[in-house]
Amino acid sequence: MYDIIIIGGGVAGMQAAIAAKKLNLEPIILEKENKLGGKVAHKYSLFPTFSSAEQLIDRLEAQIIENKIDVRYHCEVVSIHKEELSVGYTLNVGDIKKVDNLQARSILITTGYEPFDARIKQEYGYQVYDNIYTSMDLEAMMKKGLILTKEGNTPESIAFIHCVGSRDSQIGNEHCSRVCCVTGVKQATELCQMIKGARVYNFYMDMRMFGSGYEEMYKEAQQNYQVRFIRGRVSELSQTIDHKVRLKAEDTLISKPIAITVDMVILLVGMCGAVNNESIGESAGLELRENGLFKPVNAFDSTTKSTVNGIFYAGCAESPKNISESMNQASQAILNISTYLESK
Amino acid sequence: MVDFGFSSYKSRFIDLDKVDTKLPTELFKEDEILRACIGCGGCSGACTAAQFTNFNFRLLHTLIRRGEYKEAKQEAEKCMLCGKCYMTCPRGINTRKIIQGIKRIF
Ligand SMILES: Cc1cc2nc3c(=O)[nH]c(=O)nc-3n(C[C@H](O)[C@H](O)[C@H](O)COP(=O)(O)OP(=O)(O)OC[C@H]3O[C@@H](n4cnc5c(N)ncnc54)[C@H](O)[C@@H]3O)c2cc1C
Ligand code: SF4
Ligand code: SF4
Repeated sequence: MYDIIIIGGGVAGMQAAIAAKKLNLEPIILEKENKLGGKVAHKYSLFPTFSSAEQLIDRLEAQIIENKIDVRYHCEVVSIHKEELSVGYTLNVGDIKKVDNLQARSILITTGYEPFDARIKQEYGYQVYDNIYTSMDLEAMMKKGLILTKEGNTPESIAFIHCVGSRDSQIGNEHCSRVCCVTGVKQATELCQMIKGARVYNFYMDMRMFGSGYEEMYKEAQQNYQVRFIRGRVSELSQTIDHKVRLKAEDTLISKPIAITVDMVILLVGMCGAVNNESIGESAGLELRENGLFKPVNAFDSTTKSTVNGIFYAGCAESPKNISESMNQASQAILNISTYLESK
Repeated sequence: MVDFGFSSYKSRFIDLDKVDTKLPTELFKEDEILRACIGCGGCSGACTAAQFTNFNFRLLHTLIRRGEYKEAKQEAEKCMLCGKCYMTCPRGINTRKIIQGIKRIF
């Protein structure tokens, strides 16, 4: 029996496993994909340093190997069941036909987030109109080193739309996803660096630069890269005959409607709960937030604790966070789990 | 003269100490979520009437909430009641009800 089953091998799950080993606890990571790193593994570079995402994942992976941490790939957790007589939990893994039972003394949920499905905001035409991409798509393009329109041209004008799938009662997502504003600043800056003379616009409702160094990035984007920040929520997108995209909004700082035609639009998608959160939550009696993420015991000193004994949370599974916050919370969760296991 | 786009209200100093909130509070009764407006301009960006006039729904109700409602009713008449603003508002404010309310109250 393992001490801790870690559900999800993103940066939070990886950091948790490494920290557990340091406290002589035996963890196992269950990851539904065929590799570790979660969303960060799909990114090109990271705010606030513009450093390589791959290097961070490589560093963490080296420690996973060095510490001989068990990892199971292609292993999707769908439910958790508490054993009536034993001290631990049984996990149902995979589809119903192929149930594989694993047992552990405690469980750490690090299932992260699911990027908002931009197709739901129909007025933004994702996968309907050409040359509309999400921030996740753009990271993949940057990774390949190819930023091209559908027609194969380098875009000269690009518009970012903030808050896609966040802060939006119409689709039932009231929360702010926190990291998309600074992602918009990072990607706008990088597009200016990669494409000489590019005109980049960010349509925002509020600029939320919550982390250390973020406001400085914002100022640099304005000053050194001439990124145009326009305060207004984009109301409508439409396709022009030459496959460009026309945006309409109000420039709220001058109280006038404005329109612009650009070569490419990037939707800054927010964070939603991972797909299995609901079934996991229901089977184990865990409380979910309205946005599909897990709700801890309280918002201050117990953000890693669930209301069920022996089940803990870390990373974006609990609330939208950046990488350092996700990893710090993972270390905190292991400390809480260690205390819990000692008390048993 | 510079055209500031919204000529109905003369620009002047707003003294919040003296603002009469009775009528704006009456307007909130039409749809209490109006209190939660984030001033994003989604409504005014989508507005059909704004293509032909200087109508600005966001500015109109923000001014009312600051006690500036002398010509509010007249402004509200410019609205074509198409409802596009209602569809775009991220707070889900029933903009149509607010317009009707402005016409009735002010
Ligand atoms: C567009 C964008 C750009 C970003 N850029 C940055 C940046 O530059 N710098 C920064 O600090 N932060 C950035 N972030 C935030 C960063 O992505 C998160 O902080 C980080 O990914 C959180 O890690 P996590 O391990 O909690 O979750 P995730 O990265 O989501 O990892 C969760 C893992 O769990 C797995 N999983 C999910 N459900 C199950 C299940 N049921 N069974 C088994 N496995 C499962 C997933 O496959 C995944 O591997 C960005 C976010 C977005 C949206
Ligand atoms: S971080 Fe910015 S873009 Fe993301 S939801 Fe919050 S305000 Fe909107
Ligand atoms: S769209 Fe809604 S939240 Fe935005 S300014 Fe208009 S009324 Fe306010």
